[in-house]
Amino acid sequence: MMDSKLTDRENTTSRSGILQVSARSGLCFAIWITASLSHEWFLGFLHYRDGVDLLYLPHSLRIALVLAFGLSDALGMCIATATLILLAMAPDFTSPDVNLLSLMVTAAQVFIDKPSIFASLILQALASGCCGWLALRILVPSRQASYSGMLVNLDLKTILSVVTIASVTNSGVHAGAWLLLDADLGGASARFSVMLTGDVLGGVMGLVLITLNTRLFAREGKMT
Amino acid sequence: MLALSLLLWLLSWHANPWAFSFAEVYPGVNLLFLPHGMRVLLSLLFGFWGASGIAMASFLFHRNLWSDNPWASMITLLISGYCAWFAMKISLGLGNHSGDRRLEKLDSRSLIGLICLLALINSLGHVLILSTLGMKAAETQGHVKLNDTFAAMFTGDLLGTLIMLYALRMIIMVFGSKTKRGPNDGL
Repeated sequence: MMDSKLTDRENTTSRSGILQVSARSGLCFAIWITASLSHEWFLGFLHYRDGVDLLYLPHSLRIALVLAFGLSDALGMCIATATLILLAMAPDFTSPDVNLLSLMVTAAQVFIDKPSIFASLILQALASGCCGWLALRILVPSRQASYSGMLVNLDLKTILSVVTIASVTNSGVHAGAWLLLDADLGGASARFSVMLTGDVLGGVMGLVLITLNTRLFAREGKMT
Repeated sequence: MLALSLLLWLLSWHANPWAFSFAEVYPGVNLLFLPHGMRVLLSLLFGFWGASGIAMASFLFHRNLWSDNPWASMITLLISGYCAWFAMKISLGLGNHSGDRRLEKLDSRSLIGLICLLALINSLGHVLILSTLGMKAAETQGHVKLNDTFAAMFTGDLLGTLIMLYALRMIIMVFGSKTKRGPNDGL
Protein backbone atom coordinates (compact mmCIF):
# COMPACT_ATOMS: atom_id res chain seq x y z
CA MET A 1 0.00 0.00 0.00
CA MET A 2 2.78 2.30 1.11
CA ASP A 3 4.84 1.33 -1.96
CA SER A 4 2.02 2.06 -4.37
CA LYS A 5 1.49 5.50 -2.75
CA LEU A 6 5.17 6.27 -3.14
CA THR A 7 5.15 5.12 -6.75
CA ASP A 8 2.14 7.33 -7.48
CA ARG A 9 3.91 10.31 -5.92
CA GLU A 10 7.10 9.57 -7.85
CA ASN A 11 5.12 9.29 -11.09
CA THR A 12 3.38 12.61 -10.43
CA THR A 13 6.70 14.27 -9.59
CA SER A 14 8.43 12.92 -12.68
CA ARG A 15 5.43 13.89 -14.84
CA SER A 16 5.44 17.44 -13.51
CA GLY A 17 9.24 17.51 -14.01
CA ILE A 18 8.87 16.49 -17.65
CA LEU A 19 6.12 19.08 -18.09
CA GLN A 20 8.34 21.78 -16.58
CA VAL A 21 11.27 20.88 -18.83
CA SER A 22 8.98 20.81 -21.88
CA ALA A 23 7.51 24.21 -20.98
CA ARG A 24 10.97 25.72 -20.49
CA SER A 25 12.24 24.19 -23.74
CA GLY A 26 9.18 25.51 -25.57
CA LEU A 27 9.76 28.98 -24.14
CA CYS A 28 13.44 28.90 -25.14
CA PHE A 29 12.43 27.67 -28.63
CA ALA A 30 10.05 30.62 -29.02
CA ILE A 31 12.57 33.15 -27.64
CA TRP A 32 15.36 31.91 -29.93
CA ILE A 33 13.20 31.92 -33.08
CA THR A 34 11.92 35.43 -32.23
CA ALA A 35 15.42 36.73 -31.45
CA SER A 36 16.94 35.27 -34.64
CA LEU A 37 14.22 36.64 -36.89
CA SER A 38 14.27 40.05 -35.14
CA HIS A 39 18.05 40.23 -35.51
CA GLU A 40 17.77 39.43 -39.20
CA TRP A 41 15.07 42.07 -39.60
CA PHE A 42 16.67 44.92 -37.64
CA LEU A 43 20.39 44.25 -38.13
CA GLY A 44 20.28 42.60 -41.56
CA PHE A 45 22.87 45.09 -42.87
CA LEU A 46 25.51 43.34 -40.73
CA HIS A 47 25.02 40.14 -42.73
CA TYR A 48 28.18 38.56 -44.13
CA ARG A 49 26.82 35.32 -45.57
CA ASP A 50 23.99 32.88 -44.68
CA GLY A 51 23.81 32.66 -40.92
CA VAL A 52 27.00 34.68 -40.37
CA ASP A 53 26.98 38.26 -39.03
CA LEU A 54 29.69 40.69 -37.92
CA LEU A 55 27.66 41.47 -34.79
CA TYR A 56 25.36 38.67 -33.63
CA LEU A 57 23.35 39.84 -30.63
CA PRO A 58 21.31 36.59 -30.17
CA HIS A 59 24.55 34.85 -29.14
CA SER A 60 24.16 36.44 -25.70
CA LEU A 61 20.86 34.56 -25.32
CA ARG A 62 22.70 31.24 -25.63
CA ILE A 63 24.31 32.03 -22.28
CA ALA A 64 21.57 34.12 -20.67
CA LEU A 65 18.92 31.44 -21.27
CA VAL A 66 21.12 28.73 -19.73
CA LEU A 67 21.55 30.99 -16.71
CA ALA A 68 17.79 31.49 -16.49
CA PHE A 69 16.45 28.03 -17.40
CA GLY A 70 19.35 25.58 -17.12
CA LEU A 71 19.93 22.63 -19.44
CA SER A 72 16.35 22.60 -20.80
CA ASP A 73 17.29 25.77 -22.65
CA ALA A 74 19.85 23.82 -24.67
CA LEU A 75 17.19 21.38 -25.88
CA GLY A 76 14.83 24.18 -26.96
CA MET A 77 17.61 26.05 -28.72
CA CYS A 78 18.88 22.93 -30.55
CA ILE A 79 15.38 22.29 -31.92
CA ALA A 80 14.94 25.99 -32.78
CA THR A 81 18.25 26.12 -34.69
CA ALA A 82 17.41 22.92 -36.59
CA THR A 83 14.00 24.39 -37.48
CA LEU A 84 15.55 27.64 -38.74
CA ILE A 85 18.08 25.76 -40.89
CA LEU A 86 15.32 23.53 -42.29
CA LEU A 87 13.23 26.59 -43.13
CA ALA A 88 16.23 28.23 -44.81
CA MET A 89 16.74 25.04 -46.85
CA ALA A 90 13.17 25.19 -48.18
CA PRO A 91 13.17 27.99 -50.78
CA ASP A 92 9.48 27.62 -51.68
CA PHE A 93 8.23 27.86 -48.10
CA THR A 94 6.08 30.91 -48.86
CA SER A 95 4.12 29.26 -51.65
CA PRO A 96 0.55 28.22 -50.71
CA ASP A 97 1.05 24.57 -51.78
CA VAL A 98 3.64 23.89 -49.11
CA ASN A 99 2.54 22.40 -45.80
CA LEU A 100 4.41 20.90 -42.85
CA LEU A 101 4.07 17.33 -44.12
CA SER A 102 5.47 18.12 -47.57
CA LEU A 103 8.37 20.01 -45.94
CA MET A 104 9.17 17.03 -43.71
CA VAL A 105 8.99 14.59 -46.63
CA THR A 106 11.29 16.81 -48.73
CA ALA A 107 13.76 17.13 -45.81
CA ALA A 108 13.72 13.36 -45.21
CA GLN A 109 14.46 12.73 -48.90
CA VAL A 110 17.36 15.20 -48.86
CA PHE A 111 18.78 13.60 -45.71
CA ILE A 112 18.56 10.08 -47.15
CA ASP A 113 20.19 11.16 -50.42
CA LYS A 114 22.96 13.13 -48.70
CA PRO A 115 23.64 12.04 -45.10
CA SER A 116 26.36 14.73 -44.80
CA ILE A 117 23.61 17.40 -44.87
CA PHE A 118 21.88 15.66 -41.96
CA ALA A 119 25.17 15.39 -40.02
CA SER A 120 25.88 19.07 -40.70
CA LEU A 121 22.40 20.05 -39.46
CA ILE A 122 22.80 18.03 -36.25
CA LEU A 123 26.28 19.52 -35.61
CA GLN A 124 25.06 23.08 -36.13
CA ALA A 125 22.01 22.55 -33.90
CA LEU A 126 24.12 21.00 -31.13
CA ALA A 127 26.74 23.77 -31.32
CA SER A 128 24.13 26.50 -31.22
CA GLY A 129 22.18 24.96 -28.36
CA CYS A 130 24.93 23.61 -26.14
CA CYS A 131 27.85 26.07 -26.52
CA GLY A 132 26.61 28.40 -23.75
CA TRP A 133 25.94 25.54 -21.36
CA LEU A 134 29.34 23.98 -22.16
CA ALA A 135 31.20 27.26 -21.56
CA LEU A 136 29.48 27.70 -18.21
CA ARG A 137 30.24 24.10 -17.21
CA ILE A 138 33.92 24.64 -18.08
CA LEU A 139 34.41 28.00 -16.40
CA VAL A 140 32.02 27.93 -13.44
CA PRO A 141 32.81 25.38 -10.70
CA SER A 142 30.93 22.11 -11.04
CA ARG A 143 29.72 22.13 -7.44
CA GLN A 144 27.61 25.15 -8.32
CA ALA A 145 24.81 23.02 -9.79
CA SER A 146 22.31 25.83 -10.35
CA TYR A 147 23.10 29.05 -12.16
CA SER A 148 20.01 30.84 -10.86
CA GLY A 149 20.85 34.26 -9.46
CA MET A 150 24.11 34.35 -11.40
CA LEU A 151 22.62 36.58 -14.09
CA VAL A 152 22.31 39.48 -11.64
CA ASN A 153 25.86 39.05 -10.36
CA LEU A 154 27.68 38.62 -13.69
CA ASP A 155 30.88 40.68 -13.84
CA LEU A 156 32.73 41.72 -17.00
CA LYS A 157 35.49 39.16 -16.38
CA THR A 158 32.99 36.27 -16.35
CA ILE A 159 31.05 37.67 -19.32
CA LEU A 160 34.19 37.99 -21.46
CA SER A 161 35.52 34.53 -20.60
CA VAL A 162 32.21 32.64 -20.97
CA VAL A 163 31.38 34.43 -24.24
CA THR A 164 34.87 33.68 -25.60
CA ILE A 165 34.67 29.94 -24.88
CA ALA A 166 31.07 29.72 -26.17
CA SER A 167 32.00 31.62 -29.35
CA VAL A 168 35.09 29.53 -30.10
CA THR A 169 33.07 26.32 -29.60
CA ASN A 170 30.11 27.50 -31.65
CA SER A 171 32.06 28.89 -34.61
CA GLY A 172 34.55 25.99 -34.58
CA VAL A 173 31.82 23.35 -34.78
CA HIS A 174 29.95 25.40 -37.40
CA ALA A 175 33.13 25.57 -39.53
CA GLY A 176 33.41 21.77 -39.27
CA ALA A 177 29.77 21.45 -40.33
CA TRP A 178 30.35 23.71 -43.37
CA LEU A 179 33.37 21.63 -44.36
CA LEU A 180 31.10 18.57 -44.32
CA LEU A 181 28.91 20.25 -46.92
CA ASP A 182 31.68 21.52 -49.22
CA ALA A 183 35.44 21.25 -48.95
CA ASP A 184 36.18 24.94 -49.60
CA LEU A 185 38.64 25.60 -46.76
CA GLY A 186 39.21 29.26 -47.71
CA GLY A 187 35.52 30.11 -47.63
CA ALA A 188 34.97 28.21 -44.39
CA SER A 189 37.91 29.94 -42.65
CA ALA A 190 36.70 33.40 -43.71
CA ARG A 191 33.19 32.60 -42.45
CA PHE A 192 34.67 31.15 -39.25
CA SER A 193 36.58 34.33 -38.44
CA VAL A 194 33.58 36.57 -39.12
CA MET A 195 31.30 34.28 -37.09
CA LEU A 196 33.71 34.20 -34.15
CA THR A 197 34.03 37.99 -34.16
CA GLY A 198 30.28 38.45 -34.48
CA ASP A 199 29.57 36.02 -31.66
CA VAL A 200 32.09 37.64 -29.31
CA LEU A 201 31.00 41.22 -30.05
CA GLY A 202 27.28 40.42 -29.97
CA GLY A 203 27.60 38.12 -26.97
CA VAL A 204 29.49 40.62 -24.82
CA MET A 205 27.27 43.55 -25.85
CA GLY A 206 24.05 41.58 -25.33
CA LEU A 207 25.07 40.05 -22.00
CA VAL A 208 26.18 43.42 -20.61
CA LEU A 209 22.78 44.88 -21.58
CA ILE A 210 20.87 41.89 -20.15
CA THR A 211 22.85 42.01 -16.87
CA LEU A 212 22.35 45.75 -16.47
CA ASN A 213 18.61 45.38 -17.10
CA THR A 214 18.34 42.46 -14.68
CA ARG A 215 20.12 44.47 -11.99
CA LEU A 216 17.84 47.43 -12.61
CA PHE A 217 14.70 45.29 -12.32
CA ALA A 218 16.06 43.50 -9.22
CA ARG A 219 16.76 46.86 -7.56
CA GLU A 220 13.29 48.18 -8.44
CA GLY A 221 11.73 44.98 -7.13
CA LYS A 222 13.55 45.39 -3.82
CA MET A 223 12.47 49.02 -3.55
CA THR A 224 8.79 48.18 -4.05
CA MET B 1 64.48 41.85 -20.01
CA LEU B 2 64.11 44.46 -22.76
CA ALA B 3 66.52 42.67 -25.10
CA LEU B 4 65.04 39.27 -24.30
CA SER B 5 61.48 40.35 -25.02
CA LEU B 6 62.62 42.10 -28.24
CA LEU B 7 64.34 38.94 -29.41
CA LEU B 8 61.51 36.60 -28.41
CA TRP B 9 58.88 38.74 -30.10
CA LEU B 10 60.88 39.07 -33.33
CA LEU B 11 61.49 35.31 -33.26
CA SER B 12 57.80 34.54 -32.85
CA TRP B 13 56.91 37.12 -35.55
CA HIS B 14 59.16 35.41 -38.10
CA ALA B 15 58.31 31.86 -36.98
CA ASN B 16 54.55 32.33 -37.26
CA PRO B 17 54.21 32.57 -41.09
CA TRP B 18 56.60 29.66 -41.41
CA ALA B 19 54.62 27.46 -39.01
CA PHE B 20 51.08 28.55 -39.90
CA SER B 21 51.31 29.57 -43.56
CA PHE B 22 48.16 27.54 -44.26
CA ALA B 23 46.14 29.88 -42.02
CA GLU B 24 47.25 33.14 -43.64
CA VAL B 25 44.32 35.20 -44.92
CA TYR B 26 46.07 38.43 -46.00
CA PRO B 27 49.78 39.37 -45.87
CA GLY B 28 50.59 39.67 -42.16
CA VAL B 29 47.09 38.59 -41.08
CA ASN B 30 46.85 35.02 -39.87
CA LEU B 31 43.99 33.02 -38.34
CA LEU B 32 46.51 31.64 -35.82
CA PHE B 33 48.75 34.51 -34.69
CA LEU B 34 51.12 33.30 -31.99
CA PRO B 35 53.07 36.62 -31.64
CA HIS B 36 50.01 38.10 -29.92
CA GLY B 37 50.27 35.29 -27.37
CA MET B 38 53.93 36.15 -26.96
CA ARG B 39 52.93 39.82 -26.47
CA VAL B 40 50.55 38.89 -23.63
CA LEU B 41 53.07 36.53 -22.08
CA LEU B 42 55.97 39.02 -22.17
CA SER B 43 53.80 41.80 -20.76
CA LEU B 44 52.66 39.47 -17.98
CA LEU B 45 56.15 38.24 -17.15
CA PHE B 46 58.29 41.35 -17.59
CA GLY B 47 55.73 44.15 -17.22
CA PHE B 48 56.75 47.54 -18.60
CA TRP B 49 60.14 46.34 -19.88
CA GLY B 50 58.54 43.46 -21.75
CA ALA B 51 56.10 45.88 -23.40
CA SER B 52 58.97 48.24 -24.29
CA GLY B 53 60.86 45.37 -25.94
CA ILE B 54 57.82 44.54 -28.08
CA ALA B 55 57.37 48.23 -28.97
CA MET B 56 61.01 48.45 -30.10
CA ALA B 57 60.68 45.27 -32.17
CA SER B 58 57.47 46.63 -33.74
CA PHE B 59 59.21 49.89 -34.53
CA LEU B 60 62.08 48.07 -36.24
CA PHE B 61 59.63 46.02 -38.27
CA HIS B 62 57.05 48.69 -39.12
CA ARG B 63 59.68 51.30 -40.05
CA ASN B 64 60.24 49.34 -43.25
CA LEU B 65 56.58 48.45 -43.74
CA TRP B 66 55.22 52.01 -43.52
CA SER B 67 58.29 54.09 -44.29
CA ASP B 68 56.16 56.74 -46.01
CA ASN B 69 53.99 57.38 -42.94
CA PRO B 70 55.94 57.85 -39.68
CA TRP B 71 52.75 58.63 -37.68
CA ALA B 72 51.16 55.30 -38.60
CA SER B 73 54.38 53.55 -37.64
CA MET B 74 54.47 55.40 -34.29
CA ILE B 75 50.84 54.64 -33.38
CA THR B 76 51.27 51.00 -34.42
CA LEU B 77 54.24 50.57 -32.12
CA LEU B 78 52.26 52.10 -29.26
CA ILE B 79 49.29 49.79 -29.85
CA SER B 80 51.43 46.75 -30.52
CA GLY B 81 53.78 47.30 -27.58
CA TYR B 82 51.98 48.99 -24.76
CA CYS B 83 48.29 48.11 -25.22
CA ALA B 84 48.60 44.68 -23.63
CA TRP B 85 50.56 46.06 -20.68
CA PHE B 86 48.22 49.04 -20.21
CA ALA B 87 45.04 46.92 -20.41
CA MET B 88 46.52 44.45 -17.92
CA LYS B 89 47.42 47.27 -15.58
CA ILE B 90 43.85 48.59 -15.67
CA SER B 91 41.92 45.32 -15.61
CA LEU B 92 44.01 43.40 -13.10
CA GLY B 93 45.10 46.36 -11.00
CA LEU B 94 48.70 45.25 -11.20
CA GLY B 95 51.11 47.35 -9.25
CA ASN B 96 54.87 47.04 -9.39
CA HIS B 97 54.71 43.31 -8.69
CA SER B 98 57.07 40.66 -10.02
CA GLY B 99 56.11 38.33 -12.87
CA ASP B 100 55.28 35.49 -10.45
CA ARG B 101 52.98 37.73 -8.45
CA ARG B 102 51.19 38.84 -11.62
CA LEU B 103 50.66 35.22 -12.70
CA GLU B 104 49.39 34.31 -9.23
CA LYS B 105 46.64 36.91 -9.56
CA LEU B 106 45.26 35.28 -12.70
CA ASP B 107 42.60 32.57 -12.65
CA SER B 108 41.11 31.04 -15.82
CA ARG B 109 38.26 33.51 -16.06
CA SER B 110 40.55 36.54 -15.68
CA LEU B 111 43.01 35.16 -18.20
CA ILE B 112 40.44 34.32 -20.91
CA GLY B 113 38.63 37.62 -20.33
CA LEU B 114 41.90 39.49 -20.64
CA ILE B 115 42.89 37.59 -23.81
CA CYS B 116 39.55 38.48 -25.42
CA LEU B 117 39.84 42.15 -24.43
CA LEU B 118 43.41 42.43 -25.69
CA ALA B 119 42.59 40.76 -29.01
CA LEU B 120 39.74 43.23 -29.44
CA ILE B 121 41.89 46.28 -28.63
CA ASN B 122 44.80 45.16 -30.80
CA SER B 123 42.78 44.23 -33.90
CA LEU B 124 40.56 47.31 -33.63
CA GLY B 125 43.63 49.55 -33.24
CA HIS B 126 45.37 48.05 -36.26
CA VAL B 127 42.24 48.29 -38.42
CA LEU B 128 41.70 51.92 -37.35
CA ILE B 129 45.25 52.71 -38.46
CA LEU B 130 44.62 50.97 -41.77
CA SER B 131 41.42 52.96 -42.27
CA THR B 132 43.10 56.29 -41.41
CA LEU B 133 45.93 55.48 -43.80
CA GLY B 134 43.28 55.23 -46.48
CA MET B 135 42.01 52.32 -48.50
CA LYS B 136 44.73 52.77 -51.13
CA ALA B 137 47.47 52.02 -48.65
CA ALA B 138 45.44 49.14 -47.27
CA GLU B 139 44.90 47.71 -50.75
CA THR B 140 48.61 47.82 -51.52
CA GLN B 141 49.19 45.75 -48.38
CA GLY B 142 46.55 43.25 -49.48
CA HIS B 143 43.86 44.25 -46.95
CA VAL B 144 40.92 44.83 -49.24
CA LYS B 145 37.93 44.72 -46.90
CA LEU B 146 38.50 46.27 -43.48
CA ASN B 147 35.63 44.27 -41.90
CA ASP B 148 37.15 40.99 -43.02
CA THR B 149 40.63 42.13 -41.95
CA PHE B 150 39.32 43.04 -38.51
CA ALA B 151 37.55 39.66 -38.14
CA ALA B 152 40.61 37.72 -39.31
CA MET B 153 42.96 39.73 -37.05
CA PHE B 154 40.71 39.31 -34.03
CA THR B 155 40.38 35.56 -34.64
CA GLY B 156 44.14 35.19 -35.08
CA ASP B 157 44.95 37.13 -31.93
CA LEU B 158 42.35 35.29 -29.85
CA LEU B 159 43.16 31.77 -31.04
CA GLY B 160 46.92 32.39 -31.12
CA THR B 161 46.98 33.57 -27.53
CA LEU B 162 44.64 30.84 -26.27
CA ILE B 163 46.70 28.13 -27.98
CA MET B 164 50.03 29.55 -26.84
CA LEU B 165 49.13 30.17 -23.20
CA TYR B 166 47.29 26.86 -22.72
CA ALA B 167 50.09 24.95 -24.47
CA LEU B 168 52.54 26.60 -22.08
CA ARG B 169 50.32 25.77 -19.15
CA MET B 170 50.16 22.12 -20.20
CA ILE B 171 53.94 22.01 -20.61
CA ILE B 172 54.39 23.48 -17.14
CA MET B 173 51.87 21.01 -15.69
CA VAL B 174 53.58 18.05 -17.35
CA PHE B 175 57.23 18.98 -16.81
CA GLY B 176 57.13 21.51 -14.01
CA SER B 177 56.38 21.18 -10.34
CA LYS B 178 52.88 20.71 -9.01
CA THR B 179 51.02 23.93 -9.71
CA LYS B 180 48.38 25.22 -7.35
CA ARG B 181 44.94 25.42 -8.88
CA GLY B 182 42.51 28.05 -7.63
CA PRO B 183 39.02 27.14 -6.41
CA ASN B 184 37.46 28.81 -9.47
CA ASP B 185 39.73 27.15 -11.98
CA GLY B 186 37.64 25.06 -14.34
CA LEU B 187 39.99 25.28 -17.31
